[in-house]
Amino acid sequence: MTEANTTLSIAVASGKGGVGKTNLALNLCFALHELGGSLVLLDADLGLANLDVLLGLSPEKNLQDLLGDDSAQSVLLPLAGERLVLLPSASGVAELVEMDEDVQSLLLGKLDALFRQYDFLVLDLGAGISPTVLSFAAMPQERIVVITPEPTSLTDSYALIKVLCTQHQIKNFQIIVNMAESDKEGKNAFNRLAQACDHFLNLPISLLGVVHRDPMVTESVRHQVPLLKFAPTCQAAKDIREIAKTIMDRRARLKDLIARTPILKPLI
Amino acid sequence: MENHNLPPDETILGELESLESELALSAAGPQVSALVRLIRSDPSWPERLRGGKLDQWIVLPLRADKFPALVRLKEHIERLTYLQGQDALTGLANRRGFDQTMAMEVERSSRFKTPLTLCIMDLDNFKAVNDAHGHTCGDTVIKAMASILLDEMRMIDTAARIGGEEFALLLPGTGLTRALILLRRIQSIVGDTCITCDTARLRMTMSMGVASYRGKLTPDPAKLLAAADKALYRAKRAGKNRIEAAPILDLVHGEEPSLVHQNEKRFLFSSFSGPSSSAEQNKD
Repeated sequence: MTEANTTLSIAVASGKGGVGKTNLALNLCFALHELGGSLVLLDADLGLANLDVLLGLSPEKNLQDLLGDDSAQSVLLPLAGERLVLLPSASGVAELVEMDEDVQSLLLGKLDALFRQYDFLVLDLGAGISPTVLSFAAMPQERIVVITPEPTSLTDSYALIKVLCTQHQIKNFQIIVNMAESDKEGKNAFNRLAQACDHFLNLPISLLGVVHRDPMVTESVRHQVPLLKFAPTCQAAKDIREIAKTIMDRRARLKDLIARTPILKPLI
Repeated sequence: MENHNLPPDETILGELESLESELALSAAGPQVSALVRLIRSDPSWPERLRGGKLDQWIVLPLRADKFPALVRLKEHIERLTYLQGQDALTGLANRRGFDQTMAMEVERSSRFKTPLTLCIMDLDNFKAVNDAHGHTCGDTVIKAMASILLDEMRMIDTAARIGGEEFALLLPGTGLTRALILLRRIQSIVGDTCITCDTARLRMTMSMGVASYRGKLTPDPAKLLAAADKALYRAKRAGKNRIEAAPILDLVHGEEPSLVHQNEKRFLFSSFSGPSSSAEQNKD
């Protein structure tokens, strides 16, 4: 019998691109790290190696190299020492969905052993509802859906939640409203989405937090420095820290549930 | 069973000899008599046909009024090859053979939970070849394409000619990612191949539509065909000489054409009577 799992795995998804998902995922990781958490961030955003760009990195190895002789240490990129690391995936992720069950479970086994050493696994998913995104969104224990108050973001995130709920039987979603002009606007956007989910899918969703629109976000991206390092006291950074605190508490509160849930559920 | 329909041997031999002398008189060259002798005396001609010696064959119109027995023999052979599941011109599977293989591979895929990929290929602008260079030339092109498929596919794959210029490639145990590697190779070889036909030197392209099951659901042959067909249509529409893939079928299963319905949209945008909702909508 292996030791009980303590890693909380979270997919960060968005129905629509351009809502700041990757940047938010990255900064959430830094915020959780500041709070004392250890994390591995898995870049599962295909083709658009956004995390590399945000960080000015060009990784040589990726997820699939774990299948060979490469040690986890040679594949992982430290972002802030050993307690915040990036696992690049490049195109390897697309193939994981297609891998036969033996290879998939071999890789998942190796990944599991690796992820177990951290408090959190954060998966940065691609935007949209492609089959690959859906498969990856279904694997971890929790899902954060990033939306903005724009109508198109609402429809696209509703579509994502609907497909995951009706076709993959996923029932737990947490929402972050990003780029909100005000608290009120953010909550309003969440309420619309929540009521539609409740009315049509009979699915309760919860609001994890609202992140205000902040000019420092664009500035930090331009400088390829994480917002929490670039402008640690700006409004958006504060919002993100608030959310990180909620996630920290959640992990403590859900300890028992996490213990009996695999970090990544194999694809059905 | 069919034999009683066939003309007697003497009649066939008689017609063959007169055909041979007619051809010799028109001084068509040595291949012509070789062709006739081959049909008459070599029982392994189907193998030869398949064995890539197609260059030596010439397609000749067989006039029914002059050679009625040979025409009947030819029809009989075509019928037999069809029943055997084979396309007479190319040696690939025909529609019937393809359907049989498909039924078996669907069963295999569902039993062993292995992926199954189907590609439907259509020669681009084939009608123009027929119109400009004649049907004999068209046949040469079809045969050249068939031999590329036979060369490139693996032993377990099935290549079929399912229509005039339409081919199907069934790839058992193969998902979309791996199938695309093979298909891109075929696409590039087709593009690089120069087909000589009389004085014409032709270059062809193919449009391809691919559809896959990952082996998680029991494949539905009709759905697989329809999805590949639809992808092929998209490839044609997008400018030909392209490969288009349908969404992997066991991942989109049950998906509705429009994901977010009008009533859901109305709910998201208007029926919610939250504060300042109309002002925000206008912003976008």
